Amino acid sequence: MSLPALGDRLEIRALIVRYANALDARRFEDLDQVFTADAYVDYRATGGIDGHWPQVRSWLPPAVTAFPHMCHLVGNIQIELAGDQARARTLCLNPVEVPLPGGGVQVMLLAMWYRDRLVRTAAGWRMSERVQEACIQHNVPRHLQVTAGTAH
Amino acid sequence: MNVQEISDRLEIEQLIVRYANSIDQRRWDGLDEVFTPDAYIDYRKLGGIDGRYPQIKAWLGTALAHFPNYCHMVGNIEIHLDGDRATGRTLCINPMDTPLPGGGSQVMFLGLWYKDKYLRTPQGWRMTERVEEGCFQHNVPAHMAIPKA
Repeated sequence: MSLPALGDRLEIRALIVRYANALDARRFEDLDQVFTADAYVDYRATGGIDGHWPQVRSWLPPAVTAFPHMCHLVGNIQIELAGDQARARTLCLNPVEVPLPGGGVQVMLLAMWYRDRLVRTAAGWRMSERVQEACIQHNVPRHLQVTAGTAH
Repeated sequence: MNVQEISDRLEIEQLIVRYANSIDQRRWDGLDEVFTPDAYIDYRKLGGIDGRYPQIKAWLGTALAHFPNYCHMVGNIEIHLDGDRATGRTLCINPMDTPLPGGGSQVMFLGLWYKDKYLRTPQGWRMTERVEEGCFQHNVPAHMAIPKA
């Protein structure tokens, strides 16, 4: 593996981590440095929406604010480089604290994959597409089970 | 750490991830590019079999067909390089959606380590040995018989 390829791989990994940190810290403006302006994002596998970045960008804050605590642990990052483009597959373990209708909270654990397309821009690597693929849903509160996507 | 060593480490990490993705996507042929043809694999600590790669490959599809959804999250990858050979230790957190006899399913969580040996081949790094070491078992349905770690 050449030095430029090593550099690209580490930069793409850092981008995938930056997404998780921006979301977990609710610094939504930082996500503008993760996605291209017209990126396609598909959260439907976990009950969210799909659309282009500006639309998803305005949907995210209220959707995520419903959950007092959450984190997105990413790993298993597999990257295929093709010049100024790349594809990546990432596994995410996602514990989410959910307020219950009768008071109190319950932690549910979701596992999903992200299938990404990436492009090298003048400002560095960016995601031009992120599509969720569902895996595990554990301890999901009953009132959320309707909206949570069905694992295949 | 020189560029060659950094490259070897990233390639071995990608090999470990490629194993997890092949298993999780049930792309059994993908494992041909993970293991050497005569690799030794030992899944006995979590109730599986041990043997050479062709035997394991034939067994995997049937053994995992029982579970509708699962993933193998790997981390804590420690690699010791020694020229064209290497050894590694990897932690894996493994949630498994398990069908229940009375209907529905239950997610059990297994923790395990992989103890690996690697070889540099003309096609890139490959595993010559993978031995599981059990750690925790959480929320295992009563009807599942997994030997204790």
